[in-house]
Amino acid sequence: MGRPSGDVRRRLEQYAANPQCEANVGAALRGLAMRDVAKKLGLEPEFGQSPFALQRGQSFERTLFEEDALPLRRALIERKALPANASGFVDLRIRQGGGVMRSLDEAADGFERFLREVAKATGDARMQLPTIVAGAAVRCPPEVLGGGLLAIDVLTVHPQPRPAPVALRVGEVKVYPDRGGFTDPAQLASARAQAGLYVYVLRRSVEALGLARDLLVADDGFLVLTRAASNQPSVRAGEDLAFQAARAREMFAKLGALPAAQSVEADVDAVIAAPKRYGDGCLSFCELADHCRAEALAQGLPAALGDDLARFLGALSLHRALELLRGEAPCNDAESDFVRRAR
Amino acid sequence: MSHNPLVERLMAWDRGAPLASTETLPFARVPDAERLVLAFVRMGGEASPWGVAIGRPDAPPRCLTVPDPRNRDAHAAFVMDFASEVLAHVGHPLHLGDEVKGGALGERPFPAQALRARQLWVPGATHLEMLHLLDFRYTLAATGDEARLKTLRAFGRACGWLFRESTRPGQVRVHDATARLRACFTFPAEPARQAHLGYLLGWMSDGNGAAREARAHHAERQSVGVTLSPEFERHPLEGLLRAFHDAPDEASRDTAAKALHTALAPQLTARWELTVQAIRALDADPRAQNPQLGPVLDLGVEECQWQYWHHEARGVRADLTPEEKRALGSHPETDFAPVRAAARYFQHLHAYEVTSNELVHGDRVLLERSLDGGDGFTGEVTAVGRENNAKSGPVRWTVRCPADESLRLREESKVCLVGSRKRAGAIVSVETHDNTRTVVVELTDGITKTAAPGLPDAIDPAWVGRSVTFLDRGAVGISQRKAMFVRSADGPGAWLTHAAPLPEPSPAGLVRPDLVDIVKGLQ
Repeated sequence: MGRPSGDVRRRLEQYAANPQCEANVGAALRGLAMRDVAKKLGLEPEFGQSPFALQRGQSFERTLFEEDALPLRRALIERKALPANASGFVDLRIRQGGGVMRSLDEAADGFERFLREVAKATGDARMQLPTIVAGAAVRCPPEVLGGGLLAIDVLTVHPQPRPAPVALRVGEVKVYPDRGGFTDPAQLASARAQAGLYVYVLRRSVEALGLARDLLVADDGFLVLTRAASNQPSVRAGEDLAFQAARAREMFAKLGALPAAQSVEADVDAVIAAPKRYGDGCLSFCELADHCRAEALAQGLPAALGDDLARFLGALSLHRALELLRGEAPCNDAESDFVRRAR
Repeated sequence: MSHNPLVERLMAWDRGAPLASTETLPFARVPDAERLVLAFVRMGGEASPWGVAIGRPDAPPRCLTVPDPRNRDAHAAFVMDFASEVLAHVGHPLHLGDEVKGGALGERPFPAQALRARQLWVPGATHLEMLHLLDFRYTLAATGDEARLKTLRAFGRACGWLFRESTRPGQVRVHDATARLRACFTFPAEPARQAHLGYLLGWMSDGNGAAREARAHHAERQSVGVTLSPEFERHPLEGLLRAFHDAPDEASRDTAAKALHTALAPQLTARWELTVQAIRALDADPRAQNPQLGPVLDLGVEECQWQYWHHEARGVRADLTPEEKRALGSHPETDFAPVRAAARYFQHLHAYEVTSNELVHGDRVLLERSLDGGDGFTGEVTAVGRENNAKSGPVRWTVRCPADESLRLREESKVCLVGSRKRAGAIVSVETHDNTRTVVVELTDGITKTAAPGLPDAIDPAWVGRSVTFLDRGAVGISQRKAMFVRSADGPGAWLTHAAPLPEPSPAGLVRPDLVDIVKGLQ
């Protein structure tokens, strides 16, 4: 058992996956892996990552940023996400990801310096700013998750003559293939949600540095996927991330204060004791999903048979709904309404 | 009982078993000789299969693997091993059986009868996606021996067509076994869990509810998609692959390749067998196939002819230049032309209309769902006659039905009589008083005994007092005509489908970037 590193990306994703579940929120805020909670409950967690997929992801990212990010630059220019004469690459990736930075903190400091330089650049120097930044680390707002760090996969810089601000565009790298209109919409939605989160956090960082007059974080961004059956990038430019950024703002607003630090054991116990709220989405990320479903089913909670059924039944339990379907008289308006709709 | 799918799920949970969700099966049962079952596995993160199990459901599958799917040449050789089987099944002109060939190469008639009942079955949605990925990989293959390239490209195009066909509403050629089970049964579980074929088959097994659920949960632990479990990839596959790459000589390499095959084959077989189990479960189902399936099958044959076979048959003609042949294939990613996209959209709409309008007449449950949705009404005939007591012409029926049911039909809506679709007409008036709705229908088609066999003439007073059901006649055919019209550069919407692309923006000129510098320069 242990606490995660300073990278809070996974914790935020975990929180966003089911913010209604107090156990999940508690675990995300405390930085606890649900795997540890599952083990304490005597369950056998089955989630894991494919070693081949990890290698493939690393290999793809390495290829992307080879030769001053030439393959990525070509793809971005091809999709008009960068002008044809774009040049310059800043690599802030940590060593683990193929870069030179020793830690996310160092990457964050480097990125802060870079932003200041970009903001004050004038004349030809401004127009010749590097256009691609890899692994830019930004700090979360201090009130959230203890000011944890997030590493943005890739960022493009779009200098404009003064007085217009320099535009920054967020990009998210994914290893799955771009299949045109058949690309899995759920995977695309998840990638956009991550990119939107970065847009919001980057905007907050720029404001916190007092650079909002000189730097503009664009509402649109881009996704970098693989070309099907090749290791070349396929860029989806012009992705509107305004809604996702607004949703990230809402999420940060709802995130509670960081609980007082306790021992890991005590935190696990606190998560176990917290009320759970099972939903369809839990299956894809939470090691407690089966456990919570069994509990929900025992209590007759309709969510155990699907979120859509839970919405249909409202406050009715599964057992009461069945009684009504078998002909028992409704006791209140909600039950009468259910009988009418189920008829 | 209600046909609300959510209520049905609740009832299925109460019974501890899946419930039949339709009265008939919405696809054709065909002999095993017409079925080909495919199941894939892939290496994590890769877009091409690592192995495939292929075969008819009445014989053991052939399992083929490639030691490392990232090696393009080895992968092409692996695909060549089963490409002919797939091409023969889809009816590629160069791979048809002798009994249906006939005619000179490139001028053979479309073998509609031979291809009418062909079906491809895969375990689930990720296996269908694999067909699309094979399309990407091989349709545009450009390097290698020309004869081999021809087969590989043809294989890529066939996979692409099968994938695209799988997305056409109501199609009955490419079957995702998991989706088929879900369409025929209501399972007592949340939708997210119903994407697992083993889980669904667990619920369909014998025993009481608890035993079924336990079997379903046990089956759920085994991967059935194209990806393998990470644990299995770590051990033994990662080690075996390393051994394959580190092998000092050819013999050790072969040994490592065989070990990889031995490890992957059971995974492939398990997925393939689950698909066959699903086929057998549907074969054993007491429900008959929908009796109105004919037009749906006809449309499937038409699609096969014009979306696949026609292009392939022209492609093998020797008198076409490579440039002319290039235009015959479909690109895996896009059709590049808005007009083609628009036409396919209308064709899909047409397929949906044909399927929904036809099948509803052969399935009581679909009919009731349609009535629940307000697309028809059931009532008692209270009067039969002609307007102004004319001696011939359209017949008017007055139908009285309860007013508490929703009705989306309005005056002039086209309706047909359930049980005799040829007897059709339009609603003349709808009047509601208290709890009674009176609908007057003017019947214009099928009003004689000859036109509607087995029924009295529409004007026969014997209809008075009988219960009848009228259903929205639908507008089948309009979308198909739109699909043709949309190709015209003059029709409505041409500004969208035939518009010239916007001009490229001018390249950024050399500008002085800083206003202050410009002002200073001017001084």
